[in-house]
Amino acid sequence: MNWLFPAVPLRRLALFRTMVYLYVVIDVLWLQTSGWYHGYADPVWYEPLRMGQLLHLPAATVPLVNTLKWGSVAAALVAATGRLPRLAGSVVAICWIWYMYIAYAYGKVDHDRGDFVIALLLLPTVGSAFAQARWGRTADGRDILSQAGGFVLRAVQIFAIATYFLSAWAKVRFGGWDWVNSATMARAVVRRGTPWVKWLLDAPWLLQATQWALFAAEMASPLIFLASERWRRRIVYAWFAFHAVTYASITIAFWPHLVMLLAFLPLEQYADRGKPSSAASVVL
Amino acid sequence: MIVPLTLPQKAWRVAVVLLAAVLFLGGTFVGDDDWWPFSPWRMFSTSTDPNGAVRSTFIEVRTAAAPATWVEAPISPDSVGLNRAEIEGNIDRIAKDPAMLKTLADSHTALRPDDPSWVGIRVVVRNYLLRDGGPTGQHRDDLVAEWRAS
Repeated sequence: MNWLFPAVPLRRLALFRTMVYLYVVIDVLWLQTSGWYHGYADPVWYEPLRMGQLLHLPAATVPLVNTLKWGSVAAALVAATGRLPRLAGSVVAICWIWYMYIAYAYGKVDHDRGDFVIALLLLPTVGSAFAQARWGRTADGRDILSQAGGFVLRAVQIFAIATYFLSAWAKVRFGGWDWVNSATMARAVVRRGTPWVKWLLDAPWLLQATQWALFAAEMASPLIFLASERWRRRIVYAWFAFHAVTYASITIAFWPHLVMLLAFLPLEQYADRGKPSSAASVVL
Repeated sequence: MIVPLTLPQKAWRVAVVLLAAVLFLGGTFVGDDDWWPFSPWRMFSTSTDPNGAVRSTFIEVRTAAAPATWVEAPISPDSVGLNRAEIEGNIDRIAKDPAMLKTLADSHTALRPDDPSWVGIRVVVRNYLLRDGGPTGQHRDDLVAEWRAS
């Protein structure tokens, strides 16, 4: 069971947390704005999701979307500094999840953002670990190692990788085993391919080969937890490269998921680069 | 210096992870989009028939400034409060009740008060025909619904 609770430097968790909350600001202001415009859509288009039925969430209004948007931004800016981690972090989680709910309750659910909920709900659980030292070091400059922080990073890793594995099974469920031989990627290129990948439509076999490779990589993705630390990082870099190529090809990027993947990386070591440091390398 | 977790602190965290795992697995194998955030990860999961068609939806409008001509208008949140996929997700409801399109004209007026108002909207699905996984260059248009201000 201790695999789920590695003792990691609190600084790593603090850096990850800051990136998550700064990302929330960018996300709400620029990347996922359709929820805000739903404040202007007629309630006739509102189709409550299960969550909304359970919690009796109303259709969007302009004051509601403004409250959630600016509530997310304000609380995320506080939480990004490491202050009030439980209160500010909980406010971010509620506002962001509700704001995304509004974005998805009008006929189209984006399929790439559910896992970010895990990061937002679990980050506030590390609050008390910061009581001694807000940025994760003791008074004499040594790293504080935290199991609560390690748990959050591990859980984020698990659910980030689960999205690959589960998306492979969604292909089996909705597209059938024959998905790998279908024209799914050709469809994506027709609908939203960038000019420099249109040539792929003249080589459909290459698109199908890519589908085979992607499906195999997604099915095998949980094996990352058996890999050595060095290979684990290489695999994460490879997923980043995959998402970069996807963005260049069809301008789709799963931004919150990319932030989740940062939980695999030794962020405090990157921050120390170029600085003289005695901090021991800690393997997660 | 290590800050450990006690057994009860670990126990509820394990319970949370197990609950989330059950919800995500349930979403993928029995749930649907309305299970969000546990809905299936079905991006690009459907199979497209290599000899079928790729559908793409657009709207055309008549404005108060030029009520005789249909012109294509963007389906984007900053224009009508909804995006293209949301219109596509509601295509059956729109076909049954074309009066829903009037709300798009109202939203457009609220979002872009300086634009000429819309006095007619129609939804068209364009089918790009495929052969052997590549486009043939041909397309076929289907009119789904039409609304006119009376």
